[in-house]
Order: sequence, then C-alpha cells, then structure tokens
Amino acid sequence: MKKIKRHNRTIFLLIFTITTILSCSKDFLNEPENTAGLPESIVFSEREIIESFESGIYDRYKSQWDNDLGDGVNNSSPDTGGLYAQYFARTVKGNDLIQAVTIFRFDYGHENREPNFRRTSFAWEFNYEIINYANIIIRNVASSDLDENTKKEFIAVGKVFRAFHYFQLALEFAPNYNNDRSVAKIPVYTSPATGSTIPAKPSPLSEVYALIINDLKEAILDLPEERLGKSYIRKSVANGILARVLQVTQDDWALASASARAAYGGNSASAVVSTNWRTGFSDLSDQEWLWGHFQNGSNETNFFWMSPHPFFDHLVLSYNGTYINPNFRDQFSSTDIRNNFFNLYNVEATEPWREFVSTKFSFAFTSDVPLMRKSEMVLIDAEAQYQLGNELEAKNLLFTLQSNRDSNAVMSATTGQALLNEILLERRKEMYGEFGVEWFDAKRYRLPINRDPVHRIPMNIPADSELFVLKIPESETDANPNMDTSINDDI
Amino acid sequence: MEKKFNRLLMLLIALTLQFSYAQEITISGIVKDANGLPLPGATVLIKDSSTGVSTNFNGIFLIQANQGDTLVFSYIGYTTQEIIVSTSPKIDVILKEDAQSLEEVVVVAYGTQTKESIVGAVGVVSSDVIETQQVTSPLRALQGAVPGVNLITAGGQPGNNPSIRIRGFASVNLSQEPLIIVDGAQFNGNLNTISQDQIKSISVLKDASSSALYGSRAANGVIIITTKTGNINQEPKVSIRSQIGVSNPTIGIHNLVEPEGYLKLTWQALKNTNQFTNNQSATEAAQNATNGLTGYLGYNPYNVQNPIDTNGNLVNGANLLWQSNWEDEVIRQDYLRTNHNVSVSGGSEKTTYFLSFDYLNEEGPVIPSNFERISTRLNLTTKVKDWLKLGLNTSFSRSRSNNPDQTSSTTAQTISWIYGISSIYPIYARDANGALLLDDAGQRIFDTGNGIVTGQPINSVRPTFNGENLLANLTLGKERRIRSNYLASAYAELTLLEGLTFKSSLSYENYLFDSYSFDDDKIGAASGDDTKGRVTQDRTITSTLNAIQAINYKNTFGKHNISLDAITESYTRTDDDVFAQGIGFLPGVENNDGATNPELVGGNIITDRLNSYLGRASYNFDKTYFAEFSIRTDGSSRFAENNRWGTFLSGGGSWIVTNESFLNSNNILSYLKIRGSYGELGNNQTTGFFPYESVFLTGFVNESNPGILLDGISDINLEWEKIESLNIGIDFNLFKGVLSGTIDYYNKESVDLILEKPLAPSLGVTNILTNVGSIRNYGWEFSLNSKNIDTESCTWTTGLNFSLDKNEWTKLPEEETVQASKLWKVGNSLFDFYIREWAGVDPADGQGMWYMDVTDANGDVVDKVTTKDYDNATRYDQNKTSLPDIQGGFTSFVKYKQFDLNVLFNFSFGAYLLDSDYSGLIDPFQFPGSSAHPDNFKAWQAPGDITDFPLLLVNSNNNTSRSTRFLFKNDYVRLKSLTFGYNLPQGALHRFGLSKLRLFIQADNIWTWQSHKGIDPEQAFNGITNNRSPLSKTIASGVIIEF
Repeated sequence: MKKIKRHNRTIFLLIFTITTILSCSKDFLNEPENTAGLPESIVFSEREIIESFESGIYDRYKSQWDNDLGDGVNNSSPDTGGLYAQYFARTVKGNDLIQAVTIFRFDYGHENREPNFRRTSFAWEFNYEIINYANIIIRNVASSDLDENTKKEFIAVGKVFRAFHYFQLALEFAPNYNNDRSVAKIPVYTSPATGSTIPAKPSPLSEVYALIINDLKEAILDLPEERLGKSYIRKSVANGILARVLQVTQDDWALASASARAAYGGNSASAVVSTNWRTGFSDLSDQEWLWGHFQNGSNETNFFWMSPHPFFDHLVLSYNGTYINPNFRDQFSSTDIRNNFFNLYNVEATEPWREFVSTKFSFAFTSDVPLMRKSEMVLIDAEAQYQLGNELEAKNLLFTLQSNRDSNAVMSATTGQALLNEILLERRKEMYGEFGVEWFDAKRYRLPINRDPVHRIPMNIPADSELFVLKIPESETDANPNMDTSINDDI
Repeated sequence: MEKKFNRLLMLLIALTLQFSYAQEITISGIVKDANGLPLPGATVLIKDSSTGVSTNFNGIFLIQANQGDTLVFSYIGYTTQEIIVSTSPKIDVILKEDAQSLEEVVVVAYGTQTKESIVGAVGVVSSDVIETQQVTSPLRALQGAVPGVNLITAGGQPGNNPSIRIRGFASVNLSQEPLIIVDGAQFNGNLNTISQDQIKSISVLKDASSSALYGSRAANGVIIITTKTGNINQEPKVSIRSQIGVSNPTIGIHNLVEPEGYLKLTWQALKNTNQFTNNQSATEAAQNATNGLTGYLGYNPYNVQNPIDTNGNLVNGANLLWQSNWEDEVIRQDYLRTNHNVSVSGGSEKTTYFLSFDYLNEEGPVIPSNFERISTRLNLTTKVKDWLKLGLNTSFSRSRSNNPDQTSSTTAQTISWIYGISSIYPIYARDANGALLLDDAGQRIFDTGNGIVTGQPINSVRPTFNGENLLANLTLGKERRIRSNYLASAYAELTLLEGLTFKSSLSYENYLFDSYSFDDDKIGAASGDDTKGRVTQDRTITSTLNAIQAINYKNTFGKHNISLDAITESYTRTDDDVFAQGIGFLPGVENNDGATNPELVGGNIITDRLNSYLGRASYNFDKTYFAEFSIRTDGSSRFAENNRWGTFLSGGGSWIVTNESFLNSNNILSYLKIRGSYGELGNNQTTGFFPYESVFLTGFVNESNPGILLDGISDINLEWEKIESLNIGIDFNLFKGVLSGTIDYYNKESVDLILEKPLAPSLGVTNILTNVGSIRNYGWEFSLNSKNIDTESCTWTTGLNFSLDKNEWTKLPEEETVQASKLWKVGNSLFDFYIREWAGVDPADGQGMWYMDVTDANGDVVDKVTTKDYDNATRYDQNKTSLPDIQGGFTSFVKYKQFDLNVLFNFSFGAYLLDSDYSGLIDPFQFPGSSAHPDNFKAWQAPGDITDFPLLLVNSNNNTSRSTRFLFKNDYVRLKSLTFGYNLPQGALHRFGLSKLRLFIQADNIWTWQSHKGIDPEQAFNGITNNRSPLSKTIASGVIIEF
C-alpha cells in the first residue's frame, strides 16, 4: 500500500516536471523588449518620430558630444563638445581676440592638428557622424510609406545636414578650394553605413563641393519656411549655408547674393535690426537670428561646456578667458553700439594682452548661441555685389548695417580691394566670437593671420599655411584600407 | 578518580542488565584511533536494527547484543568496521582514518561532490583561510589563495570589489568577470553586501567540465559561495568576533614639488619656450619668463610681483604667503576599521539553523570615504518527512557609504585633483595681494578659481579646474551610496524512490542601489544663480528570479556507481532604474523636494532572460575510475530569435592511481589522481541586454521637442561566444600527507569572440559589435602544501601556489589593430605593449628622442635611427605585457601550544605598468597649474647636460606622450595578511563556561615590496594607471568567543 502511494507520487511529480520543462519557453524568451529605445521600423513610420530624430541631432550639436553615444561614458571635453566648439576653435585662431590659458589654448596656439589630437578626431568623427545620420534619414524616408510632402521635406532636411557637414570637413581638412580642386582628403558617402561598408577612398575637392552644392540646391526647392523653432534647419538656413559655401567656391556670386537674400528676406534694412547687441547675444528669438543653439537653463543647458559665452564673460563665475586685441578694439568708433570693450583688470602695464574684455556675450545657463544671423547674410550680399562689380550696391548694403550699428557711420568711399577689405572688416566687427569669421575669411581669401605683438602667443601664419588644415586622424588611416598616413605628408 | 567511578558504574550496569536479559550478552569496550587515543561519540550499532549507543568521553561503550549480531562501529572521518558478536563480552576496536571520507566535500555546479570524484579543476577557499583576513568584499580572500585567479582591487574606496579573472581573459568585449553563485543561485547584487563571516566556503570552478552545467554564463569561470549552516543534533553554539583596527594608505601617491620649486620649474619651462621655440635671446627669454610667470599661472603665492628672478632663483625678500598641501587635506592617516560579528548555529534531530549578524564600519583613505554595513543571514533546513526536506536561506544586507570619486578620470576625482592642481593654488580665496578674502560673517571662502571677485587681476582665475574646490566638494557636497540586498532561496527536496530525488529551488534577489549626490549651492560647479545646488538621485532595483527543477538518480550496482541529473532552469533579471535631478535649493536644503527646478528625470525597466536544459551523467567504477559527461542547451534573450540557442557539451575522466594494487605497497606515494576534461562553454554577457539591435535612444530634447538618436550599428546575426577548454591535472600526496599538491595544465580557446570591430570613423560609426576573432589562454597552475611539523603541541604547514598564464590572439578581423597602447595581432596577447621607444635626450638641445625605422623602397626596414618628431617615431612591439609571467601566493601556518601565526603573501612578477600618473607629473607645464614631480629638477637646462629628462616647455610637446619612457617593471610581493593569535587553554575556558576564546592581532597589506615605487602595484589588468586612490593597510586586534 505504502509502496503504491509512493509510486503515485513519483508519477505525479514526473509529469509535473516534464510539463514544466516543456512549457512554452519560446514566449519566455520572446517576451523581453528592448526598452532602451525605438527600432528603425517605427522611427520612419511617422512624421513626429522623424522630427524627433532631427531634434536629437540638434541636441547632439549643443551638448557634450563624444564618439560613443550609448556607452554611458563621456570622453569629451568642452573644446570638442559640439558644433559650438568647432566654431569657437576657429574663433580663437585669429588676431582679433586673445585667448587666456583656457582649454582652447592649443587651438589658440595653432598646435591642435596632429593625427592623434582631439581637435582632429573630433572634427572628423563629429561631422561624419551627422553625415551618417543624414544618409539614414534620406534613405529611410525615401523608402517609407509617408505622404509625399513629408518625404520631400525630410529628404531635403537630410541633404542640408549632409551638405553642411561635408562643408565643415572640407574647411577643416582640405586646403583652400581654389588652390587645387583635385586635392583628395575627404571620403564621400551617400548611403548609410552598415557593418560591411568598405570605407571610401578620398574624393577630390571638386566632387565634394559638387555634392554639397547639389544637395543644397535640391533641398532648397523642397524645404518649407515653417519650422519647429529657430534651432531647426529649413529654407532660410539652407539658403544661408549655400551662401557661405559659395563664398568659398567664389564661382557663382549671383547665386551667393540670391541665396543670402533669400535667407535675410530681401529687405536689408529691416534684416539687420538686432535686439542682441548690448543685451548679451543670448536670445534666439531676435528676428535677426536665423539659426542658433537653444538653451533654457534647466533640461536644455550645456552648463560651462558651452562656448563662446562662458569664455567671453568676465563678469560672472566662469573661465574669464577671452580678451580683445586693443588694435581690433580701435576699429570701433565710440558711437558704435558694438563698442562694448573696457579695461577690467588694469594690468596692461605687465600683461598688455589682458587690457580689454568685451561684454558682447553674457553667460547664463539660458544663453542661446548664434550660429547664423541675417546681418551676416546682408554682408555676404554686399560681398557678392562687390564681386559682381556692383560696388554701389555693395556699399549700400554695407552701410545698411554700419548705420544701424553706429548712428555716426559714414558710407564707404573706398573702391576695389579697399572696399572688399572694409566689408571683411565689418564682418569681423559684427560677428567676432561667433563662427570664426576671421579664420574663415583668411582661409577662403588666402590671407595670412598676422598676430599683433600684444598677443599672449604672437605668431604669423602665412596665407595658405598648413596650419589652416587639420591632419587626417590616425583612427581613420588605421581603419580605412583606402587611405594611409601618406595622406598627411603634404601638410 | 573519575575513571574509577566510571568503571564502577559500568560494572554495576553490566550486572543489572545481565540479570534482566539473560539471553543477551552485554558487550563493552573502548573505541580508539590508530594512535591509541579514545574516540568519544563514536556510534555502535547493531546491524539491521534500530539499536545503537555512543561511546562516552573516554571512548567506552556498552551494548546489549545477541551472539551472531553484527556490531557496526562508525565515526566521522574513519572507516566503518563491522564485528560479529561472539561469546566475548569485551570488544575493543581500533578505527582507521578513512582517507576518502576525510576528503572534503566540495560544492560544485548544482550539488556537491567529494574531492576525489572531481574530474575538473576546482579550487577551494575555506572559512579558515577567509578568517585570517579582513576583507570587506569577501572575494578579496581569493588573492594568493587559488592559483590561476588574477585579482585586482582598483582604488581605496572601502567596500570596493576586486576585478577577478580566472585563467586569463576568455573574452575581450563581453564581461570577463566570473559568474557568482550564492547558495545555488546567480548573484547579481554587489558582493560587498555579503560579510566574510557568513561564508563556509568559496569554490572556484576553473575548467569546462566543472563549470559546464552553468554553461552559458560560465565562460569566465564560476565562483560558488556557500554560506554556513547548522548541524543535526548540535547544541546551540554562539560565536562572537570583534575586532578594531587602524588603517593607513599602503603606498600613497607620487611625490610632488612645493611652491618655490614649482615656480622655478614653470619659469624654466617658460624661458625654454621663449628661447628655443620662439627664438628669443637668452636674456629676453629669461626676462619674459620672469615677467610672464604669474600671469601664466594666474596666481602668485609670494608677496612680490615677480617672485622668480631672471636667473631662475627666488628673489630676495620674497615670502611665501600660502602653500596648499592637497594631499594632507584630503588623504587620511590612522583611520578606523571596526567589525563585530555574532552568529548562532545549531540543530535538532530534524532541523538545523544558522543565524548571523555582522556590523562593519570602515573608513577609507580619502575623506570622507567610508563603508558602514550590517548584514544578517538565517539559514534553515528541516526534514518534514523522511522523503521531504525543505530549506530556506535568507539574507538581508544594507550598506551605506560616502563614496567620493576616486577612480574616474574627471576633474573632481580626488587623485586627479591632487595631481592636477599644484600647491600654489590656495584652498581659500585670496585677494590680489595674497591676503585671505573673508565673507560677511568673517569666514574664509573656498577658492574655486573662476573669478569670485569680478575684475581681480590675479589670484582669481585658475588655468585649470575652474569652478571647483576639492575640499569644498568633499566636505560640503555629498556622495552617498546605499546598497540594500535581500536574498531568499528556498528549496524542497523529495526522495521519490531510493536513489531518485527531485529538487525544486526558487531564489529571489532584490538589490537596491541608491545613489545620492549633493553639489553645494554656494561653492563649486553647482553654485551660482543658475543652479543654486544640485541633488542627483539614482535608484536601481535589480531583481533576479531563478527557478531550478532537478531530478537526480544515484545508484550503486556492485562496484559501478552512477549518478544522472536532468535539470531545467529559468532565469529572469530585471533592471529597474529611476533617476531624478533637481536644482535651485535654499541654503541648508539638500533634498529634491526643495528643488525649484526639476532639472532631469529618467528611468527604464529592462529584462534579460535565460532558459536552459541540462543533463549530467557521472559514473565511477570502484571509486577508482571516474567519468562524467554533461550537455546543456541555453536560450538567451540577448540574441535574435534565430541565433538564440546554444548547445554546449563537456566530458571528463579521472583515475585514482593509488587505488591500484601495484601501488599498494609503496610508502612514498600516498595518493595520486590523474584527471582530464574537455568541453565547451558559452558567453552571452554583453554590456547591453540587446546587443543585436541598434535602436534610437530616447531622452534627447531640443526646444522642448523630444529627440532620439541612433546608437551605432549592430549585427543582427550576433551569437554566443564559445569557449573550448581543455584541462589536465594531477593531485598527489606524498609521505602520508607531508607533501601534497595539485598541478594543472589548461588550454582555453575562445572562438566567435564578440568584438568591437573598429570601423573607419568616416563611416560615422566608430565600431560594430560582431563575432570575430579568437583568443587563447593557456598555462600551468601549481599548488603545493607541506606539513613540516605535526606534533601534538606544534604544527607548521606551508603552502605555495602559483600560475603561469599566457594569453594569445589566434584570429582577428584585421591583420593588426592598434588598441591604444596595445597591438592586437595573431600571436600577440591582449596586453602586449605596442608603443614608441624612448631614445633619451639629445644633450645638444635637450629634445626628447624616439626610435624610428628607416625603410627602403620596398618598405623593408633597413635601419633604426632616432627622431625628435614623436609622430614619425615607430611604434614597436615591446615584448612586454601588463600580464604577469608568474603570480601566486605563499602561506605559512605555525601553531605552538596556544599560539598560532599565519602569514599570506601574494606576489606577481613579469608584468609592466605604463604609469601615466607619473608621466602627467613630468613636464606638466603645457598644462599650467598642474602638479609636478620632483624628478623635473633633473631636466636638461644647457647644452651638454646629460640627463634622461628633456628640457621643460610650456608649448605642446610629446616628451611625455606614451612611450617606453614611462613603461616600468611592476613586480611586487605583498604581505597580504598576517595573523597572530592566542587561544585560551581548555582548562581556563571551562572555568568561564566557554568553548573557545581567541585573542588575535591581524595585519593586512602591511608590507609591500615593489619594483616601481610611488603608487600601488595593483592598478589594472591592462597595465595603465588612472589616478587611483591608494589601498589601505590595516592593523587590527580582535577577540573570538564561542560558547
């Protein structure tokens, strides 16, 4: 009897066990979902989600970029944190501003260009990362089931991103476009990377710029003007980028003028009116701003990583790092609203480079950062008119801005190169600290950067110096079978 | 007197019994061991009956039995003897020690085995070994105790868990940490929540066959922690241990120069740059250096404007106004470690229990680091019926620590700060004349070097670490970590038929990691009107549910012994994370309720699952020939559906040679076992739970619009890494235990390694995780133990264990991949240094030089010359690795009467260390403000100087870039623990009613010999330093009381 009972128990347990073992383990393993994010198939199914991908890219621009998004570790630093840092590194390379011993000191000293230095790898990896995102947008939107208007719009957005970042790469890693258009430094990709993509061989500059201009022209046709905010790229910003590109290629000034006009709206007098001068250059809502980084001080702030504001502002706790070359300061008349320089420290006897600081940028966690303004577009228009031979129109445009900034301004009486020089000086006076205007102009017009002796590191950089070009990073030459270290031999 | 009384009593009983049961005879006798000592408590049973007695204190027994009955004499650890009752009423028995049953029972995968039946490689650390050390994280006890286990504790934060590598590096990108099993279930909490006193044994499963049953997670070896239990029929035993110790940093950190020297060196660097880079005349260069010095540094700790004259000397009359010794400010000396423990264990006929309570409070070298923990445990087993046994192990632990950053490389990290900011920067703010600035209340203000007083021209803005002050961070800020761990595992074991058991176990673990940090509202990064203090809280609950159903059949057919297991396991781990950060606090408010601006929130819940089917068959013939085979199939949610399942096989055998008759007569070899095993294991321990798919990460934002970004690219075909592992070993015992040991050879090859294959960054993605590459780990492990003296009053044993481990790439996606300071190529190891080779300093100009190859037109190397251009220098395979050639431990235990002395050394030879902590302190002047090492005084100054230190410069240069200049041999021997104890003699104990009273002094990490001085030799497996805080050495005294 006892034995039978025991036997029953055994059978029961065996059945129970076998059922447990064989019970649907497929569901058990299928159930967990990757809650870390959204799969590609969902992202490109709705306009709102594609829009959020675009928003993510702007967040990337203004945050603390490093080359591995998902590893939870940040290997970056404020001088390689995003688009703002790329621009500020160009800013400190000139003569107009003097940089104290801050994190940008290596860029100030034109030292930060070796294949294993962080300026180099940042400029390369950051721009190529966004280019890949652009290619992902272009391909996936094209093959999506969205309506045609949405498709057109976002393919165009992708193309502007792609063009903008190839333009940045060409500026940083190649010599002046018009010196030799066959120089091949930049590999070009027009489809998203996969695990099996073979890294491309570098394309000649002519091809890189052809892609940039073509992308921008096509995008401008399809882009609407309306946008979610001023940190977003739409028609006017795309026109502004095209105008800048044509400032470099210098082969289609009529289109440069037209693009600049499209960007500033055609009415130069109303375009140049700015509320930001004397208020700290930190407000994106100014009608004069076309494009910028947005910050709100709470969930959207880059703290002390942002530039230029924390470096320029000497009146709040920050780096107190940027000083004004007294000779540059002397270019501003006393009635110029932009003449906001003063001697804060009174140490010019022992440290002459520390004589002047500027209050152009005031720093707070809410400070927005200008990336493109209508005044720049008006000056591009002036430059284009000059190059087209319309000096009078050029002067008028120049004076529109000058008279707005300085009530005592007098219309330029210069002609020829002197007029161009005046336009270029006005660009520096209007946009110093923003996107490296002095370096940009020196590079595209093959000008030297001759620093005055007052500088902390005085140096003369000849026109077309190799110091205008970053070397290709070691990580690329190590992993790209179509490129080796000889690519850096000539620079 | 006592004896006499006993005899009398015996006689009396014997007589009485004789009268009452005439047909039976009373048998008496003494049970003794081979040395003639009586065995109290030995069992005497009449075979096939329930009648039995125990021997008394003198080994004497008395039992009624019929003629022809068989008496069975047994005693734990001795061979059972049977004697048939004849007419004689007196039976004296001598029991022989049973070598087999004395063998410890070793906890292995899903069960226990006697040591002799193990066919694989298993190392065991018993509570005896753990007891001689003070290990806040219990696995630190493995260091130097088990060969083949490489262990590094990085940084001195108390409670830090060591990184453990068993038999090398079976994986590269996936976890290299072994699987931790606590009482049968995978442990996902923090090991420092377990106290050392609760542990009965730690088993380390090193080869495939022993760990195969854990298959998918066992690729890096398995560590099984078994906690203590009570025994059946054991009187309650109370054990109290209490110890208090004083700690100091073991090695400390590198030496640093003081302000005068610092200014002189910076002056020198400025002058050199002016003269040699900017081509100024020597006079001009010196004058400009003198004038520019304080402007370059931003601060002037002297009372004169230019404290260094044009000859590089301190000017007359210059007085130092302040000097900051950051190390003294933030690194403690003589800090406390307190540990108290009480445990009670015992058992009745059917139930056993073990209850433990442990309190630990340990301070660390960096203020205010500490670790305070209580941990409790209750282990219960009960036999409900003769066929049903139930058990429940539960533990709860809570630790709270102040955890200032000591291991990252951020600015606020303590050691980074000390190395990164020199003594010329004041702790408290100064005005332009160097006088202390005071606040409205007359108190000093922490200096944060970002311009507290607007427009102050000097002593205001530092060139480095703006907005921070380490002392303010450490004293005003808070970095608190609370770890709560609840662990319960319950099982029911049913005996279905004789030999057939079913065991069902369920374990649940809930680990709560609660991190809280407060950045002060007045000083530091979160000060200022925009922030006003920041509170960051992060809570992660890791819960693990594990269910195991196992059927085991065990039987003996004559000399054939078999054991069969069928097991199914399901495992679910869920990580549930919530994050909140707020700013805008009133002074004194330090909790998120007081935040006026909820800056950030975050959180996610994500699950990982595993489902497994296992089978194991073991067979042995006459306990001499052993064979074992196992198979396991695992499904993991970490791989896509088509690649989810992996099947892993393993097998092994062993032969106890000394059981053979031909060895019976030899007196030398007492025991010899040869074993071998081969098998496969899998690894799925990827960093993320879904490594096969790239998703668009959420949580980004722009102008209040939600943002997403794609995280890299992924390989949908990602599958299990597989480890093929061979082990051959012998266990031996010579001269009856005088010398015993184990020798193992292993060869593990990991194939289909999941690696981050580097991609050309122009693709927009820097790497992809995919199955490429193979790596091999192989080596020898030795463990030797000797009994040097073994007498009644004196025991002396020594032990030596060491391993020779090699690591080698056998397949890689690219022919050569440079991974920072290492070169990955077939034939190289994971950690072979591949860096530029330092060629010294050119005496003519003081420039550093490196070697470079000269190649001909065919690319063949025709010459090796020096270059002053670092970028042109060739990177060479240095034939030096960060892995030791040999590492191990040495122990010696001496016991003389009531005194005992135990020492444990661990050692490591042959490894190299790339000391970037040191290189950062050499010529740091291009990073103004950064601390400097006194070695900078050896720098080249004038043509003709012969030195290994190039001229100092303030412009960027590569003199301190990665090269053999900073590659140092990192041999060391460390006295890891020394325990000296005194046990009160039995007589005295009886008087106090105690069973044990032990007084001891224990010293941990008390002595270290090292080939590279300045920092702790325990840094990282890859041989790269990272500003780690020093480990502690502790001297403690303590007492153990048992009753």
